[in-house]
Amino acid sequence: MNNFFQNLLSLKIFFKNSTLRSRIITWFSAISILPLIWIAFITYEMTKQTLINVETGNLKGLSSCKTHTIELFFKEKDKAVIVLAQDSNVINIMKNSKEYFSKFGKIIPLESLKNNISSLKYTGALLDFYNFYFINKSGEVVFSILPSELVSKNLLKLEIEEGELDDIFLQSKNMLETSISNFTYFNPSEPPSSFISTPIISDGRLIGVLIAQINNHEIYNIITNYDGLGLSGETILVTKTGNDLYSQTPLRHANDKNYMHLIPEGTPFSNFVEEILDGKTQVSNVIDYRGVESLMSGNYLLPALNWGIITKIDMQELLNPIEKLKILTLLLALTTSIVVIFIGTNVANNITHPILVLTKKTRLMAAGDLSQHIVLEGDDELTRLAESFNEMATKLNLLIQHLDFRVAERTTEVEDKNIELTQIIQELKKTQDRLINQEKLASLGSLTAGIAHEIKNPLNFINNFAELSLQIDKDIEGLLDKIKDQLSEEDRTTMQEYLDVLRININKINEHGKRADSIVRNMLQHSRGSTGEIEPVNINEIINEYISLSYHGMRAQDPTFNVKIEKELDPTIPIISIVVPEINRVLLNILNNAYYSVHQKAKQTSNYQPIVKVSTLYDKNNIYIKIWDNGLGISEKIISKLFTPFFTTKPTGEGTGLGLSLSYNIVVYGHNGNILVNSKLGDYAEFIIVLPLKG
Amino acid sequence: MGWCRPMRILLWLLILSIIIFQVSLALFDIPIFAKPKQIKVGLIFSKKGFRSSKEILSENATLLAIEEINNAGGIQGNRLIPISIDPESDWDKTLKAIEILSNDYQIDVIFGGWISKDYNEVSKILEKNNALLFTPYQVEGIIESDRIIFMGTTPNQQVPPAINFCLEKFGTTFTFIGSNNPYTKIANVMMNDIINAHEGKILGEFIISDPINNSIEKAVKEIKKNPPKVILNTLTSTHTVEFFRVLREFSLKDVPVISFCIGGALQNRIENIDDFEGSYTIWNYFQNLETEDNALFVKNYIKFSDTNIIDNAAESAYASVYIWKKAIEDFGHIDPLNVLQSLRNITFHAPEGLITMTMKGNYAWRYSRIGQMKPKNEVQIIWQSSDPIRPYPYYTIRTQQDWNDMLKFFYSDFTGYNE
Repeated sequence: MNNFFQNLLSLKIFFKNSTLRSRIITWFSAISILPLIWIAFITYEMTKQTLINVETGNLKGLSSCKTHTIELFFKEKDKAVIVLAQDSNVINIMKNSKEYFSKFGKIIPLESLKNNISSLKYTGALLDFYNFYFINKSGEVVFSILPSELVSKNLLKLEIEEGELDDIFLQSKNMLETSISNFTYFNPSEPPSSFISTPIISDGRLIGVLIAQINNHEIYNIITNYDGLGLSGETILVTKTGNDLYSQTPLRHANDKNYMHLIPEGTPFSNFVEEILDGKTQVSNVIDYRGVESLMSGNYLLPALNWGIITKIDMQELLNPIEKLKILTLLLALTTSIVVIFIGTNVANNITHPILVLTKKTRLMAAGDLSQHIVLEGDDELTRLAESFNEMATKLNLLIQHLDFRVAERTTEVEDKNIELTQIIQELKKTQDRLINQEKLASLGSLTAGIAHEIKNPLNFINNFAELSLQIDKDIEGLLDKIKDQLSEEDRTTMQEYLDVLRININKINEHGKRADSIVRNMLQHSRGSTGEIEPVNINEIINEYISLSYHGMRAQDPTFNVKIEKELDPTIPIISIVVPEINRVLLNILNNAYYSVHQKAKQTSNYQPIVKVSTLYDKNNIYIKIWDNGLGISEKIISKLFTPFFTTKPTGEGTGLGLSLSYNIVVYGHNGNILVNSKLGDYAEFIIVLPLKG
Repeated sequence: MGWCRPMRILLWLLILSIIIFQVSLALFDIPIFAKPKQIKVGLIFSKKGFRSSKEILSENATLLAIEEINNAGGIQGNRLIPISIDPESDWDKTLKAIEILSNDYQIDVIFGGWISKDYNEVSKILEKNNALLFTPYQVEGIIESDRIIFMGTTPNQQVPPAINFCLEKFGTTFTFIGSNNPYTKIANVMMNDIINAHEGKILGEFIISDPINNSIEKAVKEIKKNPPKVILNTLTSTHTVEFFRVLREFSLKDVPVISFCIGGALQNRIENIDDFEGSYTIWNYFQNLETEDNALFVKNYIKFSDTNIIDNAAESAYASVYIWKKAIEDFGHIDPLNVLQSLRNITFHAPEGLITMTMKGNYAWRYSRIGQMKPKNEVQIIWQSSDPIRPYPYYTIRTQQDWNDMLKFFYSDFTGYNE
């Protein structure tokens, strides 16, 4: 059982793992061969059954026919002896022989019954009887037509049972019926013969019993007629004597001259015979006396004799025609399987080949080659599959091309955005720097305001007291003049000298105090928010005014100062609302720086024409004031610190470092404008003041 | 394959069941080609009238056999449907019943049907309608019909053994007493011939006619004057009862009586059964027969019917159905003519022993048994034939022509059995 399941499992695995091709072939073979085998098997079994049924009917018919003939035979004998028993010859013989026997105790001489005997002999021969026995009522054989060992013996006292002679005698005597004995070897018959007895009744009285020995040739002829029984079939009469079973007719396959055969006990054959003699009609497959399997049909006949008749035929002969069928079927199955495997292979190929092609193409497609196309002939499902594959491939191809285009489009878009983003980031960075600067400036501004405020008071003291001291010095000089005569020359001179020194000192204090005061005031102005009124002005006018003002201011400080001033002022410039003093200061600051720069450069360089260019222009939002000079220029490092308070490149004492810081505050915070710087070190510097038209 | 799991299981189950179906088709003879039919069988048994007590037993036995056969699967798979008609112990009604069953119902086989008058008339109806009749009752013999199967006892199965028994046991002088009917007359002829052949003496022959008045007493008086060694009694049931009563009355109980016509049913009806004690009766079958087949039959019969008595005819009726079944099964035809052919030499193990049909198939080889009545209505079997006895419709002691003429003569002034 375990094995069986393992096999089943391996079969299952085979079917799971095997290719479609082998599966198709297997299924093909199974589907075609299994029904063939199945039908062959059923046909074989059915045919076998039919053959057996037909033969059974045949055997039964033959059996029935032979039974009938045998019964008829005995019936004829029956009638014959009944007729004979009433024959005058028989009655005569019986009467005389009986009388003679009872008188003399021996057989009557033949001569006395000569006529009767010859007549009876003739009738007997005609009716196929061998011999006639005459028995008196006490069972003594008082006469026989032919000489016999039975003569003058009592049948009821026979030592050897001769064909149940006593039984048939009693039956005839008591029941007044004819009765037939079983077969027995008895002279003069060579084969076993049987006896028939009948009462002899004369004038209504039973005078004896006639027993006739029957010539059984006819029965043997019937039995050994094998018509319709083929080469192996035969008919057998069986009987039971005592406990022994006998077959009492010649056996076809026994190869001896014997008529009677003992059937060995305990064999299937003897069991079969026993059943027959028990009155059962039987048809079955039995091993016969030779040990050969035979189909036997048997039935009971002649209850008085306890006979059975069996007709049989060898199974081998019976099944011979279908053995041929078996071989034929086998051959058919074999050839069919070859054809089926061939066809199956072909069909499998037809199915799997396109699939393989499809697989290959699909793989190619998967590898990226979308130009695949399958060509299949015919108009089946696979061709349709191929068509749809082709359609799919084409569509896929189109789709992918379209996709490429879209991707390029998007890439460009993204690149543009990237550039934009970079710009925005740069701007953001700039704004961030500016914001940081503004914050720094704001904090410095407030710090400066605090410091200026604190310094202003002591500075006032210094200035006031310096002026006061100067007054006192003058007073002392006047006083000295008055007392100069009282003093020695020497003392006076010394005193004068001291007074002069003191005056110089006080003046210096006063001068530097005033300068400090100016610085502080500037600082305070720086920190102070816009205080002035906003008023509409023409910026060109202011610029003109301040160019000359600052120029003259420079000239006043250093008469060697020289500059070429170029003005490109746009006359159409619109009126702008600004806090005028503040913008003035910005302009002044920047112009001063420009002059200073060109002046310094002129000191260092010969053959140099210092130029300061001032121009105004505008657009719809802003007014632009450009102040350009070809002075020293500003290094890049410094540009970022330009607007930091107290940062200056001028030597100490010449600048406070607050000018540009203040200008930046005014323009950026006061007017929401801007100051841009372009410069190349040693070449030029340009400041652009941007003022919004709508403040 | 793209089937889901339950579908695949279902598919395999389908394939499996188809294979099982095919195998079973080949292995077992499934009757799909031959539709199971119902075989109608006719039953004619009187439930009213003077025969009812006897025929009810036979009907019970017939129905028992039918039920047993149906329970065992019927005949070739066909169920038997009994269709019963009660002729009320009337001869004309019996004839009518045979006509109705064989013609109107188209029934092929009829069981029962006691024949009171003319066998030829019955035979003609059966022949016309192509049917068979199995009759389980005692018969005079002297008739051979292609349509009537005589399952009952023939005279030669009763008379010669009985006389032989008497000659051996009681002696050679006989007196006959019988009712005035063909059976008695035929039996008397036969008994006469046999006794004569054996050189016995017949001291008297009494025929009792209805109304009996005191004819039985007269006969017994005569018998008492010249008592035989044995009295052979062919009186019908009622007459027998009276006869035994008178015998007792005249203190003639010492003379043995052998009765040929009393059945079990009669015994049941007798008020004083002791009258019968010691007398003999000859039949094929007695209920207390000690064989395995009989024990089973008696057990089943008593369980099946509401009576516990089985007589010779009931056993014959039981055997009839089985013999008919065997004839069909052996040769496969239900058609009456084929059944008749098949009946030849058919054997059946009846409760009484082996029954073999004759070469012509219309009589049965049967055993003979002589029983002696014991107290409490019991029968002791004291003799039995060694082999079944061949039925001779025409006993060979006379020619067939003699017998036929004789029967014709006996029937000529006979008005029918009324008991």
